[in-house]
Amino acid sequence: MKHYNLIIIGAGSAGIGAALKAHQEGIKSILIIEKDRFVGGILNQCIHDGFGVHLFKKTLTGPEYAYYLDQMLKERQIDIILNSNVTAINENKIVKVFESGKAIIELSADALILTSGSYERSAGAINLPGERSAGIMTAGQAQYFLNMKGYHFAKNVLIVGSGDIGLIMARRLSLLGIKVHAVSEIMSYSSGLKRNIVQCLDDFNIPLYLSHKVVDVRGRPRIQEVDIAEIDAKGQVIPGTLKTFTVDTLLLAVGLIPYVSLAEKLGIPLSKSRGPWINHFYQTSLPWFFVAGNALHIHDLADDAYFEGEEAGAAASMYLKNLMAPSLKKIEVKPGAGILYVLPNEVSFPITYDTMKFKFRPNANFINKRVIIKNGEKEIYKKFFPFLFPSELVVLTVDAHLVSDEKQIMIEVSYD
Amino acid sequence: MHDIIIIGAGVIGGLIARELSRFKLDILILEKDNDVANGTTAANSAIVHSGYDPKPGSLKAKFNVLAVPMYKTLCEELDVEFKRIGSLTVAQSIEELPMLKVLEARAKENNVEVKILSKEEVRRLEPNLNDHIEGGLFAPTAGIVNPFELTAHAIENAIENGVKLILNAKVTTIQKSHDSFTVSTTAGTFKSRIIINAAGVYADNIINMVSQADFTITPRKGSYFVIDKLTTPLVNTVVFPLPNVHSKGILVVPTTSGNFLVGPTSEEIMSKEDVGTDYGSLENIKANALKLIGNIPFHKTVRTFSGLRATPSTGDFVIGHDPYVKGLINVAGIESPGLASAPAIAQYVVNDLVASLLSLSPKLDFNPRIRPRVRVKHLSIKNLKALVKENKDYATLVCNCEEVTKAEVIDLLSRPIPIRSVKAIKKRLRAGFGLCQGGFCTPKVVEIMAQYYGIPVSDIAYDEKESYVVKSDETL
Repeated sequence: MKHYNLIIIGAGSAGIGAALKAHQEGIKSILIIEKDRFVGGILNQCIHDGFGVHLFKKTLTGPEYAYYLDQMLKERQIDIILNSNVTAINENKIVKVFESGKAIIELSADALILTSGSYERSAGAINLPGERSAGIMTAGQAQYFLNMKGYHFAKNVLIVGSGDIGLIMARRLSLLGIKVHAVSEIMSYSSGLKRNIVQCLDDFNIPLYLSHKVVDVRGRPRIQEVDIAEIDAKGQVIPGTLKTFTVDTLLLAVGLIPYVSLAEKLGIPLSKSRGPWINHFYQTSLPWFFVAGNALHIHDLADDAYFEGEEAGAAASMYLKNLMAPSLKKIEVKPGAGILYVLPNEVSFPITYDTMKFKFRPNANFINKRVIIKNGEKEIYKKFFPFLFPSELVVLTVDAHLVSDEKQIMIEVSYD
Repeated sequence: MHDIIIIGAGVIGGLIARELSRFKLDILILEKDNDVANGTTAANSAIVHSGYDPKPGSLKAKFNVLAVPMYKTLCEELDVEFKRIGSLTVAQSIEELPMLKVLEARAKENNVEVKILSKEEVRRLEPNLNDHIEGGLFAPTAGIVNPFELTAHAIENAIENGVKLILNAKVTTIQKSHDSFTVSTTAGTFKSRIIINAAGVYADNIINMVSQADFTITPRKGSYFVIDKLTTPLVNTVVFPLPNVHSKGILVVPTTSGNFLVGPTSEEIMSKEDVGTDYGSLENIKANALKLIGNIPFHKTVRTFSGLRATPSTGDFVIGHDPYVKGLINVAGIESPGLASAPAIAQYVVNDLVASLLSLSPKLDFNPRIRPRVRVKHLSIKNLKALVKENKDYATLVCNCEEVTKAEVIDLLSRPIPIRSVKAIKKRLRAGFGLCQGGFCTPKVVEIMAQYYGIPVSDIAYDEKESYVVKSDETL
């Protein structure tokens, strides 16, 4: 059985960030396993631009970004196997791999970083009502058909979900001459970037219906009509607000969820981000099992996933070089009022870093609020935010020496 | 001229066909949809009930109790997932405890083994149940089965033993002459001496084409949640509340594939085609199921669906010779416990009803088994490696969530039942049944099918005929 110091699962931006960092830290044998036929993961089907502003200091399309990642990898001669799916990891750190059309192989590792990305919330996951006919698809699937395969599938489309993916697909479909009748959003606000609302909806006269949900889908063998209606603050449909769209396709852009069944099968607990529970080394309940990127929590930018991969790569290198101080005590980091999730989920002591990063998302839109980090009853950090949106991840950097191991850490939006 | 036409390729039609294929007969199955196991068979709780619940003396009680012991051999022969996990009917208050005694007495009358469990015994069996569950009735012979496999494999076996199957053949008229029937369908006209009506929710409509139904069938909709596989099981047995007059209530049940079903509702509706879901029904399921188990992870829902029970106005299965038209055998009103009863119903229909019309002469070369399917997900790495040496497609994963390989898809396509849709593959192999619900694998499945059949991807249906996934005639 072939052995590696470090195996990284997934060659998206987080996986590449992790590999390059571990290589830079002197880790000798690194292998990346990628299920697709090229480096970059889902970036390859995201043919719009706007990627890479922080990492490459220019705006790139997804495939360009993937190309740059691939180049960086090639310069360093890090091993990668493509077209290969990992289906299991066992407690002896043995990884089972399906190499498409070739072989089933087992590989062993000293440490592993899971950068397996995310999957899209499906019609089932949002309890979509009505018929289950052809013509209901996720945005990513539509992107794959159009951008990777060149298959058309629609003439008239309703999009559900106004995050950036939904907005970008509205523009993409419009540019192909497909009529996008509207974008329907269950929340009272769009979680997409303002510039995307302008460039993807306003420029194409596509209406955005906020606080609306799908109440029925009709038509067979392919969908023909979709009803949406406005909802009140409790989620109840407001009578008289029904709108019917005659469409052949309902495109769901209703969120991404970390794809972590490999971790779950090993019994690794998950946290509120729906990724594995981690300490501040991106280390799960198994010390040799690290996680980063969308497999940990959903990122707004590919660059952020890359940088997080680097941090996990650095931590895994410390672990491999036996430089990680043994954990003598752990305290939990809890999401308090107004917080959807916070990472890491726990801090191990002694802390060897000078600073400590806390990443969080608020659970609603806030204006003019302070965010407070408490260590027990003691406030160790506070910062004023004119705006907080669930769609924007916030990273706070705290002096590590302020954090004591006495009590839990709680991060909250202050209401006073 | 066929000896027998079976209308409907659900679990009833399928098992009858397979039972009939033991004899020297010319048999044709007509199915209106483009796949078998596509109506009520495809959307139910997938339970082999123990049989303690139906009214003693009813056909439901008779066939259910007869069928339960048949399942083991049947599923071995047909390579079908089946697990005898037992069922647990729970009392949700002290006041409900006496009802368990009533059910126990009914079980005795039906000759079904049951045992009343104390609060502590229930807790040991099902640790996730809420604290207010005071006791339960355990029926060890109940089980769960994969109804898609049961039906598809029974029909595959029947075809290999000489039965013919025509899909997309919706019956439009039936004419009876002296000693034969002429059945017109959307796929041509066929003649037979006997018709077996296993048309599910449409069984009364079929009767009325050639005879006169003394009963009606009302579709009764049941909606469900499908919860993803979990690291610790939500339930170990089939968990029911106490039954009421309309149904067995909202239950929580594992599936043979490791998911959990929560449902069903019970709602009489007008349309025999309406399998849509709605928020109200789903909320109703949640509210009721949470009374049994407070921590059901509904955020791990992978899908919701509805199915239609074929509820007869008589309150019991309608199985027998048509009272007015000789040669027409009706197997109608097969609502719960229909799946559980199906093997015994099939034997009765063949050995009693058909035998009274035709002389049955056994085929010496009848083969009760199908070629077992390779299930990569359950193979040891050693066996898997050996397979890959023979066929590299076993190393090509199509569906990550459910671990399905290209070789398994191609094997399925090579089997006797025509595979016409992405959903037909999903039903059998579970590609698309997992977390991502086909988000990643649908394009691959479409391409493998197109390549195998040598047709454009735009000719591949998602589900029904002409429900195309993509339209490549407008390729960019």
